Amino acid sequence: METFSQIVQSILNVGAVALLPLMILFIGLIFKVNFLKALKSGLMVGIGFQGLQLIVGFLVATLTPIIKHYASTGSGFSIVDVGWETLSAAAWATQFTAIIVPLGLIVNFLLIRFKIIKTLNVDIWNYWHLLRSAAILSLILTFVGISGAANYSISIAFGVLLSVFICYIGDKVAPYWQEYFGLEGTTCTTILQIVTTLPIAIVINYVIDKIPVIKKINISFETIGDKFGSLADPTIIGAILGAFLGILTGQPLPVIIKISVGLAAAITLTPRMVRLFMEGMSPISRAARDYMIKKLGEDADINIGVDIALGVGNQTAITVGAFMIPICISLAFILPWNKFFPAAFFGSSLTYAMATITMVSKGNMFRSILIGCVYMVFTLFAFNFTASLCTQFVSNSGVVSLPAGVLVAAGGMNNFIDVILAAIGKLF
Amino acid sequence: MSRELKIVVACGSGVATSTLAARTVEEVCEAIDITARVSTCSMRELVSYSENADLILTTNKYDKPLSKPVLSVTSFITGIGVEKTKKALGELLQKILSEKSTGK
Repeated sequence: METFSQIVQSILNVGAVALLPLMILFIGLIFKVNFLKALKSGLMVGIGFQGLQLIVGFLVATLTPIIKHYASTGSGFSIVDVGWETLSAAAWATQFTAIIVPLGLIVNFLLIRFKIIKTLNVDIWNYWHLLRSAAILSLILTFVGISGAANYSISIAFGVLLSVFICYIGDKVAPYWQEYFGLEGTTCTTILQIVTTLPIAIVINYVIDKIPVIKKINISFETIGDKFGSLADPTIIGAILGAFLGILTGQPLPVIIKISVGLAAAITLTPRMVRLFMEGMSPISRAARDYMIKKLGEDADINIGVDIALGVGNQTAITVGAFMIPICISLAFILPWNKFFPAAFFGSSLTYAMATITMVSKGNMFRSILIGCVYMVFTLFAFNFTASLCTQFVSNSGVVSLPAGVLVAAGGMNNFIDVILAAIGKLF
Repeated sequence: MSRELKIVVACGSGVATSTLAARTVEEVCEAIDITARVSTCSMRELVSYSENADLILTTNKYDKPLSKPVLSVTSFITGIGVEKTKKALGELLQKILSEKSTGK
């Protein structure tokens, strides 16, 4: 036992680059993927991770003049937006992956077998949200003084509990999701959207229903057209935001150009790296899905839990997302406590949120923007509130070695679960 | 005339579900012996990507008309009804290919 834990510890010390391929290989073998395929998957995930390391390192280096400026003035935008992609890589690289993912899937399967829930969460990719929350809890437990086996067990139990919770919510959301997006037999199990964005949207939509005049305003996509959607190209936004930040912090022209092109590059390259990650994950994800569906039977009365991405085909969400960009930037300036400047957030985090919001507003763009504003205030609050935890989580994973004093945040941290965890952590 | 088809698979971010579906699309092409270049993009990039593509596949239901044939491949994500969609995709690919070779 002693030597076994020594071996485990020495692998853990190598970090995610060694750990990730092994964990993915392990999960693949559980679901009967053949060894070579599972190994290739593991390696691809590891390669995607290394690619992401390079890009995030480059992003932080690009933004260094801006970080330095704000560090010297002691105020302003000191929290760097590293993009949800970075957080997902950090989450998969935690030591919880190899346990929470298989355990969550097995528990899910059993609950369906015993007809307690109907949702089968085949969206293995989005386990990263659960892994992240488990890792955040683990960090907080460490602060409180709980370490070792107790820390691991509690965090793992929490992660598995969340995986059950998301299926339970999936059951509740299914009728609305199916009606609005027309995806029969499915439901959304993206915990970020349905446990945070969705409740915010429902509450604000309900409030709007109570306000005279305002409640009657309805602007649909048909009246606006698609002229604005393509304006929101992430590469262009990155270049504009980079130049904007450079000018704002009084950089010389060559530095402004460097930041502009650099930010555009980072925002464009990050999803490409995650694509490699995802290519590795695909065979495993499919094997686990097909294995469980086969065991349950194709005719079983189940809802297949899928990614919120399946709802983003809706043009309204894309167009409202474009409108929200200047609003988000204005909010980042107006809110006095805000230190987070959104950049990578406009890549796809915003579109995902707006897909959820337009589902509630039934495609009413006016309402979607009102709800979007409230959502953004919460998001900025969450990013500021959880920034130190998020930074520690990202550094622990080894995705990027952050210079001392740099704080990071990104899409994914703007959820009730992590905010509540952070609030509990602040009590101690 | 090039026999290679350009297929674009689109999803919300162009990362997660489109990559997952692209693997199945590649398998379909291999099975019926069609050389295809399968790429992925986000819904937002779709209009510009579609200009150079022969076929657009989406993991969701896309509600805007495009100049190229569009097929929804949601089942490649959910795992329910995969065979039916595979068959439809195969037939569509054959059709596009024969139209291409007759020079339309």
